[in-house]
Amino acid sequence: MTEAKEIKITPELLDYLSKLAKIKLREDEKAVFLKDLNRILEYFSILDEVEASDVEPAFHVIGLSNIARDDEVGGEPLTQDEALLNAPHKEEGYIKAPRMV
Amino acid sequence: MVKISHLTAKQIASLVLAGSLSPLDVVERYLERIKKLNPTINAFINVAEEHAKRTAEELEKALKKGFRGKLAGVPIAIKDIISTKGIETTCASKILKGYVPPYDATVIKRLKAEGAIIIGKTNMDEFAMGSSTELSAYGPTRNPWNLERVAGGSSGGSAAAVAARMAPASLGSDTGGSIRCPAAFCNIVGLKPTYGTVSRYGLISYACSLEQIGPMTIDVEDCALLMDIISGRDGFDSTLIDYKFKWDPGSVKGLKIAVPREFFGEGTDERVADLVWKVIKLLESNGAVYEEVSMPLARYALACYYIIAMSEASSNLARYDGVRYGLPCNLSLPWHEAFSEVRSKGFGMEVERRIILGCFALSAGYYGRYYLKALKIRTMIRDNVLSLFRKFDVIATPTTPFPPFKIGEKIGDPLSLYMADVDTVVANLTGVPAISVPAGFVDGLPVGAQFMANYCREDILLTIAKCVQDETKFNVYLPREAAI
Repeated sequence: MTEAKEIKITPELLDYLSKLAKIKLREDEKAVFLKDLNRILEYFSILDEVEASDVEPAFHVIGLSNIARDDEVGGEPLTQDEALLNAPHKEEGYIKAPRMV
Repeated sequence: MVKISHLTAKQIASLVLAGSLSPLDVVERYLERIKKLNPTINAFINVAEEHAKRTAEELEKALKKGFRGKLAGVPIAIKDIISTKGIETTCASKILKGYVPPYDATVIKRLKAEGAIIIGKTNMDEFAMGSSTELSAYGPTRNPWNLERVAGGSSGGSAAAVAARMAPASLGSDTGGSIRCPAAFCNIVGLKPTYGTVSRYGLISYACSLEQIGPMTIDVEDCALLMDIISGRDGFDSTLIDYKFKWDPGSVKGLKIAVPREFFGEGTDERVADLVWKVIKLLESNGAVYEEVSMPLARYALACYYIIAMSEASSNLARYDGVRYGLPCNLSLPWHEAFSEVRSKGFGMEVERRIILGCFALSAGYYGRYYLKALKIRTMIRDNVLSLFRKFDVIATPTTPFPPFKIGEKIGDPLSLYMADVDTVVANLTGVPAISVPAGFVDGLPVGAQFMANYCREDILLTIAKCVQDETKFNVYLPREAAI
């Protein structure tokens, strides 16, 4: 059995997480999220019952290893027009994005 | 004469190939039913009327030239998470409204190569995050067996479309039970194949290490037919394993069934447990043997699943920034603000909740306690399941712990909604195949029995499902809406 202290999502932590997730929350949403997220975390703490320190993590379950294809174009790539088909803002064959700095 | 809409995919294809049915007639008949039933059931987000008619016409010409596809003229409904060239694909999210993929998913290419006709895109929980198809930006899908109830999720539209015979078969995706749960709630067959047997190329990703595309059908024969067509390597998905699906219908005689008691106890509706036991006894009367066993780690599967799924989702959904596709971002704002604004407008609350919790589980300081711990317990659960398969051929459980619940009943309480997946997530965590087979009705509401088998043993699952089908004739029962 592992001893683990209780973890709570505070309003400050929620602000930080919403910044990480790039999701702006309204004040009323924050209240609902705080309640729900803490309840879900409380449920997740069930995993503290399991001693697993010597166990290998299973990122994948079917023993995958990297498969690299030959360095050749496979199949028919999209044309530039097809690749840009759904971009909401574009100009002269380029995608327009918000400024980074 | 038998109604076209009451035929299975296999029957339609054989009549089309024999020249007794024209693909255009088939398509028009189904479009007519969709027009009549969809306003109530809301199984389809987008009906591909023009595309379906045009394809049917092209197919008629190809048939005259000798085309012999296994799905010639068969309309198939596709979950709106699978990319279909030229047909809007939204994942039931506002953020992807208007997105028209410039390419087909591998499964779609394969269906088309066999003469299938995409009839429309089905409703789902937004980005496949949910267990009831109530979390769609396009409103909930109603269960054709009882319009006040949910159809299950997240492939609820795909299940309801087949149950109401608005399509003879459909494709869904299953990350934690999303094919099997709605199949159970709608009295159809739903198969989650072994991880790595069906290409995920063109599947809009939610949780890559867990999800698989799979068939949802009226009967077991169609399930096998679709699996045969969609499985196998394609060169576009590096997680595919070397496998070719093959099924020769056999007998269940001598099959060994493990019945883990943890899936039948507290939290499981007794009436559901009784029906699943009836199915197990029915298999026993056909020569299978069963033994009650214990799967102590099953208790941790749901928490493990949600931590892993949310973590993977937080990474996969980072691509929705309104730049390359989707809801346009505001170019006059700095990048961080534009990105946050478009995501807040475009994502529904459950998607936001999962992305935020995923960020939390992966963030420095909490990674070891949540994400890494879940992956370690996943290893233990897999070892537990594989040890059972050294002695048994299949594991039998209910598909869901309760019958279809009322629309709105669980929506305000995410945790109680998550519980709908408690019986199905083990198969996703371990990657083994699992099927939901109709087990009967509780107060007129369908309930499913789930069987899991060892890797690449879909054949055993189908043999079991076929035995249940032969004994109970679940495939001939129709909801009142579809009996018309």
